[in-house]
Amino acid sequence: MTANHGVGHWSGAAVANPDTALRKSQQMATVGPMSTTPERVREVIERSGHSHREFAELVGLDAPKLSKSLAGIRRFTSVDLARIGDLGDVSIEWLLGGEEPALALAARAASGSSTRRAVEEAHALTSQREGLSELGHPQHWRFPAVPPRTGTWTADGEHEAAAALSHLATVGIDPQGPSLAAVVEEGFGIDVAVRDLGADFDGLSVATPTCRLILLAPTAAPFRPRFTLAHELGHLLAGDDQGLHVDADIDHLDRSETEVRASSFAAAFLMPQAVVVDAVRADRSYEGFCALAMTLRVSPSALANRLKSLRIIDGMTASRWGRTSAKEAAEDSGQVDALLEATSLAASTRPPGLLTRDAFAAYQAGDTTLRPYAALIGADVDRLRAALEDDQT
Amino acid sequence: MSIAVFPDTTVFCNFAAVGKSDLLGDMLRSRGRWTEAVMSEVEQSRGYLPDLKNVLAGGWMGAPIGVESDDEIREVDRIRRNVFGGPLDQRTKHLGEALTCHILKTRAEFAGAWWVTDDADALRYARHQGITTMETIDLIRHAVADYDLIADEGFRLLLSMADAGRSLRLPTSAAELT
Repeated sequence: MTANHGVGHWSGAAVANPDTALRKSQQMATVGPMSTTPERVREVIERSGHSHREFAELVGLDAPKLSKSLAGIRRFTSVDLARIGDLGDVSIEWLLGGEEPALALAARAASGSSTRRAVEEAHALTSQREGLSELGHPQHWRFPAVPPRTGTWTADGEHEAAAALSHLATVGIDPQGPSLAAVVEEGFGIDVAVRDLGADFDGLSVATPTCRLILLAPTAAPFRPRFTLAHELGHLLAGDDQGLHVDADIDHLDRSETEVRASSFAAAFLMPQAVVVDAVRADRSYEGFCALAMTLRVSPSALANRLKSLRIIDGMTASRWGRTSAKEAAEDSGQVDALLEATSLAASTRPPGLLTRDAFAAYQAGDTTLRPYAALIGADVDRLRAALEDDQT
Repeated sequence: MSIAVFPDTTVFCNFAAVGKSDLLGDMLRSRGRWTEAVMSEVEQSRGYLPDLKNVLAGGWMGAPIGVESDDEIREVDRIRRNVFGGPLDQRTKHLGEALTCHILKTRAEFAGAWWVTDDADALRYARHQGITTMETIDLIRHAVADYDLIADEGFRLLLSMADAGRSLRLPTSAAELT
């Protein structure tokens, strides 16, 4: 069973009846792009199962006013539409006859609370990005050119990783820094957020006209988020699935071109061939293997697979070494502190760094209140303002 | 023509919390205006601040001002989300502030009108946008200047609002209100 999918081509365990679910939610947005607001409101009323009178009461309108609005005699106001939107869980834009954002549809189509929460969170963050862009604070992503395709998916992933590493070298960023999220943000201009999204969810990537975002969930596995992050980076740099790409379970990806290429990218990005070859040349022992896993901040099983694919070790050795736990690798190489650091980082949430920076810049410029920034970092706005204004330490 | 005054919901709540909504009406002297979103928020708050019924029944705020064109409704929702941080799935949250800001920025008849709020964040934003702002303490100062209140009464009134749990800027003495 696969658990990865993109908008427009859902094929994952996280989506119940995926194609049907997406088509159904798309129908709502396309019942007619030409629909009028009264028609859209009628649809919300119908779906609510309430009578017109009951519905009017629920949205704080008297029944004659609602009737007049539905008949086109009285226009719905912004307050009417906000209340109707809340009741029907539809956007103002849709009520005005437009389309629902793709991510809102995707969240509704997703089953499984973790995936739904993740897509909702991605929708909120990309919406905030769009808003900042409209206010003159756009995101600036910097991607290397995609190398020509060779026709071999794993080779394409390797080439893309080489281009990405070369790009980082050009801008003077060390890809082996302890926080890969910071490397991706500073090196490529992609927002990276780690949010508590519940169990059973690894990560997703989003590309919209104004936003590039990777969203991950914290985990107890010390090196798992690095691999997921590199995998999602591979999707974004390659331009896979314009829209949303969900990888609910990074261990059980399908064997499609995009997944194979993104996994190959991740392996080559985190474990560059030249670095691996040099390290093995210096020390071919099991202890050397453990030390290299800790240095590269990858799981022993990922490194064993990489060594095997580079034909440095045989399948039997890869199988044996790949069973090493992260703890054993840390102890055998005397790098327990590095393991603890990685574990702590993997288990921590993280606000999107670039988005928070731009939200604060918008506040400083007087383009917004402090509230969007406070919400991003999970702070109480009054306390935050007091702290920012009073802190003289 | 007198300058219109748009109190935010927080201001109505300050006066209602001490049972003085009618005093606010007197102080506004028919200059009070509100948007439909602020009126709606006042209605919603009536459950825990019963004195707000005097605002709703008083008739001194005039007809609520709203927007009906699609473009304006979109713009108000954008301000609500992008400027005031209103969540996508709570479409009425911060709608009062967003709608008031939009009206004050775009309607020629309200050029120079005052927006009264005690939210420091909203005040800062509004000033950056060129909107004239006041706080409840400024309303009291005007009332003292207009002989609607003596400074001691104004001082006690503001302290009683704070004692009722309202969050607003306070003077250190009655003299600050003169």
